Amino acid sequence: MSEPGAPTLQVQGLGHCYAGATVLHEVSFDVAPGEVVAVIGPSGAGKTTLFRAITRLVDPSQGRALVDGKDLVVLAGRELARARRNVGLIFQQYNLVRRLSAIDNVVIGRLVHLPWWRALLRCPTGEERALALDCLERVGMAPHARARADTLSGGQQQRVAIARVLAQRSSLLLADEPVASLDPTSAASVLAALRAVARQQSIAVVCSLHQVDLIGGFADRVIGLRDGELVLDVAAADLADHHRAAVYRARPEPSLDCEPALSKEG
Amino acid sequence: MTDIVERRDDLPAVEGDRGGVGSVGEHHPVRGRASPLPRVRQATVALVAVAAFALCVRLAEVDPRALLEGLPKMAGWAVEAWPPSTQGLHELLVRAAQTVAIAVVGTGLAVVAALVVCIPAARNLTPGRGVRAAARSLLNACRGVDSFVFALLFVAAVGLGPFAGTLGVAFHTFGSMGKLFAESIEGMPRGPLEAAELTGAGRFRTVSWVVLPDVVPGLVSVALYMLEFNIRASIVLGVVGAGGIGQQLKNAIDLLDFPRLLTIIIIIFVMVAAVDTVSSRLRAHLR
Repeated sequence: MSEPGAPTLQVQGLGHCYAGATVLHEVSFDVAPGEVVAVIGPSGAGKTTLFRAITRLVDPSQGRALVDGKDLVVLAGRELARARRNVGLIFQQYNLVRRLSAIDNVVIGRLVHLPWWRALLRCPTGEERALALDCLERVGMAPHARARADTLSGGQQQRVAIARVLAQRSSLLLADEPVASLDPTSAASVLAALRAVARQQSIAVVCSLHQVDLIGGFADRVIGLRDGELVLDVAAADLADHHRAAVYRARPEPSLDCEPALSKEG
Repeated sequence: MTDIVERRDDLPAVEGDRGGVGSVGEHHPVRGRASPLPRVRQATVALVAVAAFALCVRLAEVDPRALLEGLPKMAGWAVEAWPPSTQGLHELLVRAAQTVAIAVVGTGLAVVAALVVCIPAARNLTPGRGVRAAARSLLNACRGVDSFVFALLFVAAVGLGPFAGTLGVAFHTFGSMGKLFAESIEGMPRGPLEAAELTGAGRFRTVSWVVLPDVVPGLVSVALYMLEFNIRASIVLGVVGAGGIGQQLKNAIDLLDFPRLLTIIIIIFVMVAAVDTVSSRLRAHLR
């Protein structure tokens, strides 16, 4: 769709105000196809708002958010719905339909392509079903395809949610704290699945994380938000303790020598 | 898991002091409950309540003497009524089946209509505020008018018989059920809806695939409950000429045919008990 080499996501001066306060302040960054970007920052730094502004679940007050060269901020109605298909969002709470099987949850990603009567009877074509199963396979959930979503563990549900986004065949995948409610083993499996799909299918992934120690081996790049401003943008390999300190300190202070216990955790 | 949560909360607190200060600032003192009413006001309120009730007793023309005189009469009827008559039993059973049919068809029509209108009436699915207000008003209007009143109107419009009763049940039930359906939909989690919205799926597909599976057990439960209620309502409908066993009941009373009346009461009792049992069993299965 877009010319080769062009970034999948271009965020340019994106801002959002809520109740008179600026929650997001002129944030800009690009993400290339297949690149995995981790977003870090303390609670309330604007990470969730950033994702919701890009997907237009909230309306940005300024700036642009281009996905495959198309600015979502200026679209509305049908045009917006069409452009949103290129963006998959993964939530902290998975947001699966509890009473549907894993595979039926994945088919939600294809819903827009189903004839209305098939949607009503909940009877997808064999083709769509095979595609959904393939997506489950990619995140290692094919053996649980028929299990009801609310019988799966948190990590399994999150992997089904990733499969749902894969079925959507979007070029950009946003993940808002996808592992915040998971134990370390499940968290690792979910992040591994995310990284695998980014690599295999050249999907751009932007993923916010609370646990900085999970970034190594997962992300290519790290950006940091603090008080709604972008304060960090480095390659994951170059991420150093003073970077983390700068992001997580509420107010910038010159001294960097008060090394927290944080560095020992990773 | 607790490990992660703790670490999350620690991060700002370890490195900066603002987190700590903020959390102290947000601590509100617990507000005390309003002090109890003073004695004098309590007494006044009690007095007014008693006076109002007394007034209502007068308006309702409560007359214990009439009851005392009437009771022996009723006892006499009870004696007269035994044994229940088996004459025309077949006719009565057909009429009882008709009453069940009025309730079933009326409830069924209401389910279809309520399913359509509950979508715009639900806050999380409505296309707009004005549409929602309109849908709500329609439901409230139908809910506010009893099946009995609707049946009276329809008897005048389509003539005597069970069809008028069916329409009466359908219209009133549509109002009650649509409102309950909408509330049930408003109670579903927002997340799956947002997820579906982001795939670009339209409202119809989202409702079919995401909303219905989540709310259907609740809706079926509501529909069965309304059916139980409507069985009793459609017995009463017979009295206004809308068919069913109720019409036979009224005829028997008018003719003072007490053995037949007793048979009818027994049939009604069995019928209501049977439907309630089946329905509550089905509802228990939905959990």
